[in-house]
Amino acid sequence: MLILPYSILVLIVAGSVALGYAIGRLDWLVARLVSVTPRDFTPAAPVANTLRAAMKDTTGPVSGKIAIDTGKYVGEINTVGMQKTQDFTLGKTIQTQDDISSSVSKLAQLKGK
Amino acid sequence: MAKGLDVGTSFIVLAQDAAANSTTDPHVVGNVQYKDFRDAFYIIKPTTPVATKMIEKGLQGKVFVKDADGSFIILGQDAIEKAVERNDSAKRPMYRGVVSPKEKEAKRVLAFILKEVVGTASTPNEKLIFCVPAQPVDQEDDDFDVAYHEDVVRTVLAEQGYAARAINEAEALCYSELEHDDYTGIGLSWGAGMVNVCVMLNGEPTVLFSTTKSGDWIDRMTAVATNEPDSVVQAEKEHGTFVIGEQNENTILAAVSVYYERLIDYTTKQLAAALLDHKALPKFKEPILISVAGGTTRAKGFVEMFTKKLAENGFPLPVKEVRHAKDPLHAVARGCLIAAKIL
Repeated sequence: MLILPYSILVLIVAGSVALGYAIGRLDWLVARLVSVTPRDFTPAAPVANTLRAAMKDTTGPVSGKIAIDTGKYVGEINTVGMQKTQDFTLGKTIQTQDDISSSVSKLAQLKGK
Repeated sequence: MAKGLDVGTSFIVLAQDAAANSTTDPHVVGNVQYKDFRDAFYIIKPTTPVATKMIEKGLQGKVFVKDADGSFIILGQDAIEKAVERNDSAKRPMYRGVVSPKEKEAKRVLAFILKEVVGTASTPNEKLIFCVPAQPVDQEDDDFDVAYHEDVVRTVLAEQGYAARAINEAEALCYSELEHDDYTGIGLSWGAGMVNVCVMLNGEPTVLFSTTKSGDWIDRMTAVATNEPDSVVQAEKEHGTFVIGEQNENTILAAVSVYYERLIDYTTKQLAAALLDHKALPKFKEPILISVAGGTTRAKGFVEMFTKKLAENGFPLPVKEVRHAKDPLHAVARGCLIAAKIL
């Protein structure tokens, strides 16, 4: 006598679970049916978390090139294009009678060199 | 051999032993030889082939290079003269002591000038000391990047075969001028772009800083007041006769004199404020020597006005003497050369 109502109860519970699951995956189901990538999905592993972060990250390079601020980083300084059309030497040379040997020895002594 | 290099906003000065270039002359062996170059450029871009020929003809006898895009880059004193001729201002590859972030061509022009002035190293990895400014105390500015400037200069010098190293500009001045005071005192290098300060105790720099107003500021303010280009003001200032704090019949020189006094007043106030209660300031046993150098200090009445303003603005240390460097334009390069022989 109790078997029949118990079976019905099990069927109702199972049916509810199946319906709940179907509703839960409805966005995925709809996306599949209309061939659209789901907006998001729930990751189940650390790898999936990384993947999701990468998908959401819009700060990275878009063209595959890394932009370098040449105002902050010194690369090659190209002066090749600057051509002398006449011979000249930059700077005026001045000879002095100024001997720095005593300054050098005194400072070297102070610095223990 | 070793070399010293003052990379200044207005002048680039190379110091080396005279013997490096003339070993046959016994009178100059052991003495210092300088090479000065005015740190300025002026670009003329012709629009037609006919204009190119005309400009090239007009530049005969001037120091200039032709760039890849067909423009003419006039260098040094000739650049200033050409700018004045056109009622314009010459450009500078440097601004306030570092490579100019404002000028697009600054880095290339500075590299070209440095390569030409310094030449290639006489031996691989020849030692060269160049100077850089200290961080300013009166301005927070993202454009002021000493590390980047240092990298630019070092990269250029490395290409020429030098093992280059930087020291502070005012520290170099102290090495040049404080020998007879046991390398103890204060050095102030008044360049075009800024004033650099070093407090030294027995050869060790203890306090280093800079302020961002100097000779260029006088030119700019005078240019605004008199409605003249900066280059014209600079030329008047360098070739005219005036005394700081005294009246002048020439309108430009009268304004220059007024702004000189204001600059000295401003700098001594900054100096007093920066040193008052500074944790790294040594406790000097005796009154100290203050050495001043740089192109801005060559005006008549400078030392007298500076001494007066130090007293008026509460300078916190007893001063033995304010002394003008023997050779104010070359003192920093000289100090770099002394450092290159030791450090």
